[in-house]
Amino acid sequence: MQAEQKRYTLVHYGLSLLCLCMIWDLAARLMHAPLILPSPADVFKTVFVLSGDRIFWSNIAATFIRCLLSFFISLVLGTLAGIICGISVFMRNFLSVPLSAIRSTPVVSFILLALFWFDSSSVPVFVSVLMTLPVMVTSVISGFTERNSRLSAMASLYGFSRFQRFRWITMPAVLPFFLTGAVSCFGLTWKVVAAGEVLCLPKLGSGTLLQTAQVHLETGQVMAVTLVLVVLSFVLEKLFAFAVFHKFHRGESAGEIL
Amino acid sequence: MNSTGVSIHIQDLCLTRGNRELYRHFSLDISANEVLALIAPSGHGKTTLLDFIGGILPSRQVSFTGTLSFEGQGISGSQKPRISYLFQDGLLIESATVLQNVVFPLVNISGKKEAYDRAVFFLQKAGLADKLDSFPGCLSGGEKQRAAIARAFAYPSQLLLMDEAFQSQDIYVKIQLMELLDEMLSETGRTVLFVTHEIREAVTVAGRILVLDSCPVQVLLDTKNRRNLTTYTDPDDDTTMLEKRITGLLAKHQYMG
Repeated sequence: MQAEQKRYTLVHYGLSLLCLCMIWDLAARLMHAPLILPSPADVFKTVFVLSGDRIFWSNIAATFIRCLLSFFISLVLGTLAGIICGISVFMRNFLSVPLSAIRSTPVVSFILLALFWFDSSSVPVFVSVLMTLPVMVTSVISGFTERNSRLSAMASLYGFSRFQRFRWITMPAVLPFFLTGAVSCFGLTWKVVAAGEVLCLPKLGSGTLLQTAQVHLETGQVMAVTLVLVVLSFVLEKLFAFAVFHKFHRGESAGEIL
Repeated sequence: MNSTGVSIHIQDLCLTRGNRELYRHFSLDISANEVLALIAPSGHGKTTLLDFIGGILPSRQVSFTGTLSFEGQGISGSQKPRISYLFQDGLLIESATVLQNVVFPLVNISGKKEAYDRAVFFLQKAGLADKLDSFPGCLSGGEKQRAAIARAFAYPSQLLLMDEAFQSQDIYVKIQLMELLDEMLSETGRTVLFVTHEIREAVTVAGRILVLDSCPVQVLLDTKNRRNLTTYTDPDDDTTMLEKRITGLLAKHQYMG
């Protein structure tokens, strides 16, 4: 029954993708201006050509490494800050001001400012960390605030040790929020890193490829690189989410992931 | 892991939850090793009273004045007796197995081996011998409650607080659990305060019954320390009379309050 439902969902996704391609193709035919909107066939052809080019993959790999680096930094810093804010109300209030400021500042402002402070290859990492950090911190804090207070009362009555409380009451409560935050951060990282690269133009990076193609009016290449980025981001995000939640959903309870 | 019950003394308790006054100048004495049942209509603050005695009232929602003392001494960290609490919804740790749920409170007060043996013993008594390694998520509501009962009984407390503990059990399991409670109380002394909606259960198990009519009126009924489990299925005249009296008190509240 579940497999059948999954098959139906996949068919729906396929239909949606086909419709998008048809609309794109129709618009390209009507405009008849490949410089403004190349046809899907032209873009797929460019992707095919690019995929045989080692330099293209080096650029994509550079972006990927920046993404991984910034994701890892966000994960560690965000989790630590989230735990501190979850435990201390003072720290939660204290950090809420800078976190709100970061959240409401446009990415571009950070990129331009960071260019004064760092070299062009580090700016996308810095900006991505800034953008994803509040997501991670907020997620972990939510885990703490959503803890079952009756369960904590039970632990206190039965004389649970600090470690027991953390391991068996706090961790299972925080973990689902932490994982959801991590998956959101992972998706956001790709977008921010690529945007950072477009403005900073590091030596290697998919953003640099996009910017160079745009300057040379190679619209097809801009769309081809974008397409590769979209597919990679989608596939990696899904794989990450699958790896993270697979065990989580298999068990009867959230805590079984532990 | 033997223990003896403690006496409880509540003096002049005034307690408000939100905007609602639940207790006004309420006083109560419970002797050591006594089994006291608490019966009241829903929303009368029965669970709040248990939380107050257990020291787990959420301070943000509740304000109170009055004193609580155990064995004649006010509560401060070290003097607080060991308390086990059987929560209405069981409150098991979902990420731990049934056995771990019962063992966790025990390992901090005894050796690991002894804690495991005791946990297994009480889980077997609660009819969960084949569920030791199951997670609470895989258990039915009744089984979860039985695991919570095993945890509360296994913990060598001086005071046992029970909040509608046998509520979701079928009659056979209920009798079995009442027998287990009786057996436990015969072996080790404990003071028990239990909240129930079932009058027969209260009359069968408790030595005294406190009927909270309407604030601040309370009626204490003496069951002459019965704990005679046969009356649960085969009520004698005294049982029937007590049941009628309690029903009358609750009905009076229903129609007049």
